[in-house]
Amino acid sequence: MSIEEAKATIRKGIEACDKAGVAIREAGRLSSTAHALARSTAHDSRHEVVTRGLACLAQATHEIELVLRRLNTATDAADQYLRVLG
Amino acid sequence: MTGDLSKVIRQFRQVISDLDRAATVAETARKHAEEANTHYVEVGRGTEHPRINQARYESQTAGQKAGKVARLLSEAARAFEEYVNLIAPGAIPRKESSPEAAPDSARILDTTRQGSRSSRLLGRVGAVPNADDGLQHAKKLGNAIQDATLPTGTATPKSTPAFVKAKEPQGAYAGDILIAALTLTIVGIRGAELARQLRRKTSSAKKEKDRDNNNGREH
Repeated sequence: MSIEEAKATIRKGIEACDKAGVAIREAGRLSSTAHALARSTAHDSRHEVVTRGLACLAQATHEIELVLRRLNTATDAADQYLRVLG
Repeated sequence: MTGDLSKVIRQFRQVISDLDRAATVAETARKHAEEANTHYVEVGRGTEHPRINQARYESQTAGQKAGKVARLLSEAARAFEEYVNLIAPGAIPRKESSPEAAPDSARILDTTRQGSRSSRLLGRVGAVPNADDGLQHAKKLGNAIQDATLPTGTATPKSTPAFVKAKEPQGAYAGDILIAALTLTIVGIRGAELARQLRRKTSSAKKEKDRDNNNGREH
């Protein structure tokens, strides 16, 4: 693989990470809306399945933050390697 | 009450719909992150530079975590679907779910289907038009089944969930618990024959209780 081919491939990787970021943010937006509606609808329900559903959403929100962080780190590292290649 | 129940169901349907869409979008994020990883792996074949290794590792982890997000969102949707079908059996048919969203959804849907099937086998809960009547009906039925099954353990789940053991439940929550207890009691029983056995046990247990209450005056 030539330097130019390597750079082109890295740019594809960065582009794919950007798309992943857009998608996971959209998932987060939908999840956040659903989470708020579920909480207000269930309000004082202590039913086990409701509790489980809300816990899944709380964990999903946390994981979405981690996905975004990992994607940003990957893109930063790829950018730095692009600069190394010149 | 009926109006409140229909509003709750309508709002949960919206929640489930949003979560199924969110799970699908998170799955798309996973695919993009995996695609990025494939590119970084390709570039990394010719070098051990720490930055490209880092890009490869981080994109791989991002993809795995996006997949986890999709599963969690789908699991949440199935939990709310299960809840709606507990408080209003059959309110959410299976076709509304999106099994492609996550690999675990089939297993979760199986659980939901078992619950619905159990209700149908018993042939009572699903046909009640009024929510209050339904909860009272479920309470009686649940008590009868528990009375009938606990002594022999024929239809007792291996482990009773904590919420089934709750003491003196009240109001709508009591209905939730008892319908859930009813559903879980039946889970694991296969086919109409076992359901019939359960009904016979329910009937015989009631008779025994009646005899006890009458202090043997029947004999």
